[in-house]
Amino acid sequence: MGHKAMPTGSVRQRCGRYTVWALLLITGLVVVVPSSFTAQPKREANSFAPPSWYDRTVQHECVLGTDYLGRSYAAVLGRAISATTRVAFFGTAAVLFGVLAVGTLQGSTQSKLLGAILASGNLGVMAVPQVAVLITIATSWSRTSPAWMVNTSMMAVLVLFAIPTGARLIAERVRSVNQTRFVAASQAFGASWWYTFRRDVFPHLLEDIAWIVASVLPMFVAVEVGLAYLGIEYREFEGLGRALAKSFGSIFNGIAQFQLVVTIAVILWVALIPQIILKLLNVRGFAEESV
Amino acid sequence: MSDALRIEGLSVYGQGQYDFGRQNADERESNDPLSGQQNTAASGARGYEVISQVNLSLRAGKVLGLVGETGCGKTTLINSILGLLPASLSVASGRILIDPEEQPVDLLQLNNRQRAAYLGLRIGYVPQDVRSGLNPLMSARQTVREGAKRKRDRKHQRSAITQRTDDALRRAGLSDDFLRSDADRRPGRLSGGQCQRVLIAQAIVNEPSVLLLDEPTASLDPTSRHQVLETIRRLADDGAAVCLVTHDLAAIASMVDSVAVMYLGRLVEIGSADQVLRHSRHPYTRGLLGCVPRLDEKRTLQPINGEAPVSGNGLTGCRFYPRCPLRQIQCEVDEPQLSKAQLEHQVACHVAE
Amino acid sequence: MRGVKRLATTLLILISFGTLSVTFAFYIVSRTDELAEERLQMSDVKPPPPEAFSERYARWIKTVVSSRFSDFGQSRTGPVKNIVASRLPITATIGMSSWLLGWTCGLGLAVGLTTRWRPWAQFHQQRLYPIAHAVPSLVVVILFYLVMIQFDPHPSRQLRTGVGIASLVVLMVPSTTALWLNGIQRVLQQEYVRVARARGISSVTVWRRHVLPNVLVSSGVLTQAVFSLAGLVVGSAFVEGVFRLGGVAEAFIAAATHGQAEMAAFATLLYFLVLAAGVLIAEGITVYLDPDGAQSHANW
Repeated sequence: MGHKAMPTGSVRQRCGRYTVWALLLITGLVVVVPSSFTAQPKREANSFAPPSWYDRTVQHECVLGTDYLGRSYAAVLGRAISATTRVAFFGTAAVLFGVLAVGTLQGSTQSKLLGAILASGNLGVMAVPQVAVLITIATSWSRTSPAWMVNTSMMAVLVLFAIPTGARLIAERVRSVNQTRFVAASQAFGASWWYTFRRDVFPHLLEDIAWIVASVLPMFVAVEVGLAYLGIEYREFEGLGRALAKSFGSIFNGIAQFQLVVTIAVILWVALIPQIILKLLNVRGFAEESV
Repeated sequence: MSDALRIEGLSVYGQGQYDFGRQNADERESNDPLSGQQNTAASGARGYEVISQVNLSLRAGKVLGLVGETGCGKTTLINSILGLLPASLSVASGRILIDPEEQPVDLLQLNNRQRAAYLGLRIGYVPQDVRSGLNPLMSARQTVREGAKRKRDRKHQRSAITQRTDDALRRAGLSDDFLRSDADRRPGRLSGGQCQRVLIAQAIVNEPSVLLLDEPTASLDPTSRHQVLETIRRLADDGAAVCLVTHDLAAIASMVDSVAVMYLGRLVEIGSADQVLRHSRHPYTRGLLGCVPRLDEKRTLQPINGEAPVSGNGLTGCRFYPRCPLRQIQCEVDEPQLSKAQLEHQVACHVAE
Repeated sequence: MRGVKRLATTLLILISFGTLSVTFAFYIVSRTDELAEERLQMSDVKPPPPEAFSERYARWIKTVVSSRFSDFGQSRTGPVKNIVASRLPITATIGMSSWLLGWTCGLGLAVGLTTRWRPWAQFHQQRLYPIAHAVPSLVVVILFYLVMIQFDPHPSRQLRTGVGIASLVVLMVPSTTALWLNGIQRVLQQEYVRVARARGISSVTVWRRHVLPNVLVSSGVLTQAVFSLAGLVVGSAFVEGVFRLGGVAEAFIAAATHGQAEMAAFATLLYFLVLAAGVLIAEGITVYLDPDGAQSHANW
């Protein structure tokens, strides 16, 4: 029995790993392809029409129909996925950097000041509605302000909101790993701080990092989608939120309803990819400790 | 004196291989107050052995000291009586009879609701951990009173309940001063000794005929320990059958009537306090006594060799054989059974025989 | 005494935080009004000079105080007080109902997962909750709307409100269950619960007197519950929008985008009033259950 269990486990593990790579590859393609290979969908002022199956300009049937501007919805959706995913990846990377920097600093130094800032930040994140802050920040910029400034300010708010919770988690892990004997032994051998962190501490943070990514990335997707629906979105940006809002706006049209369902499926796919990967890699959750 | 509680051939088994992590998880699950009845497994579905074929009687007015190293099954025995075994453990066989000589009732055959009619009323229990044994949000008086409410006397009158609550606190050795000024405090503002007495008070408030105490003096200072032991002795003198679980042999030597020694889930020696503590015959008991420091005698302590394994699974013959300084070839093959060495003094050892 | 001190500190922090937030909201949104002026400057008609933030804010405060909190200024569509008064009932209904149902269902599920469906508890905490947490709330709300219109293309207001509340409850339940479950599992490990069972105390009493009070005081459930109630004032914006119900959250968004600083500031004030009321009630419960503060989860 025991002899059989081993290969089965390893086969499952290998399959999981292959599936993860396949998922990452598909997602990567979806992010990269629309910009590189798909032509910019046509925007024609005279085609403000309800969504349909046909591209009126060339009179051919489109896979997912056309949107309210007469563009192929598949191309629109592809570009939207690409845009939303890029923002989510960029935002997650910024959060991860902040979380690691602040968390490691706090975990290593046990600074009371930083601890208090993190604690009050955590409290602030709970007490202040993120959406309200984003709405006020987004609307405070003048129409002539450059899009990158507006978008950066919104991203900054999101990153700042996400850092305290993750940083506290990392700080706690760093603190507990620093108290272990192997770290003490490493330091006793005269290893530098960077060497100890890289070899002894960082491997213990990987699971937490995976879970931070899995919870922060969907947050960026959710905010983009939600704000676009409320009419306050990143400037000069056409993401999944706009696609959802526009198809929802024509919900009583059959094609739009179909496009809405497809868009929802795509949003769920993008938001849940990290969770699916964690499940396939069998990484244990920190939900119990973090909630 | 008649038996108040009798354990007959009790065996408890754990599921699968022994695994500390798993057991902890199961203990967490089993702590659920709404869980089902005592786990009773068919004897065929056995895993690792925790308690094996234990026979024991608790007599009214007597204190039985149940001693042994950590992990020998003392607390599991108490939990079996209370129906609080972790989900990973189950009773494989045996009976636990309350009132065995008048109207015997097997506690193992009862469901949670039926058992609750005995717990707190006929059987009192004092836990091991003084601080965490008391609800931090309930005052000392509220804790004892909650138990007192269970006994429906004089139509559940408030004054009668208050009276019984205060009486229990007094009988547990708490002064009138405590009742006036400290009884309404929560455990966080009481000393360890006071907490222990409150726990004793909640156990005795309904004057149970059986009192189970799981290492009640483990975390107390010597003064408090002495006072608590005196209180326990007094309760036995009032007629309760007391089972005192401990590994502090020195502390209980002067106040127990009989002693049962457990090793790896089995009773290895049982007899009167004098027989077991002064004329012990089992090498394990002697080993335990050899570890007890004494102020009146300057000597080197002689601990038992090695550590007790977590389970007796895989061992044939005597469980103590690998650590026994007097082991013989027979010990490795034949498992010794409890047999009378003298009147009421039973030992499970080939060498002692 | 200790409880009173704690309450006073909490109140002071809330007042300071609330005042700052209201001022900040007024400042930011009043800038939006200046932008409108910028746009006007591009036309031939010379716009009136923009009113400075300090003057406008001082005037608003003066109006509010002099009217003894009965006038909160004017919005473009009428008095702020009237707009909020007409929209508050729907927001309050959505917020309170979904909050109550969300937390009650969470508690029920958590109790069930610790007693009857134990194998699912770990599954919920490690798999279901993180996945549910990752699903964008707007998507869930839209899905509910989509299903509703399949059955009734012209739903009544009551039906829209009911389904809207249901969508919010579904969104809340995984996290409320996770919070309750986490607290309950921690308390059930405590020795005093085992002792209570060993004393033959009924299951209901054990839960009522030993488990739940300790979960409330020590696990942070109360803190989260208060913040989630206040959060629903804004969080119900999606439900109000998708189900076309028209509430305070929608008014706040309209105010922010159109530079109606008085309206935005009043909506922020309302949010902090709800938050303050919730915090004070939670503090009261904590002080009542744990006057010594020995177990309290200091989260504010």
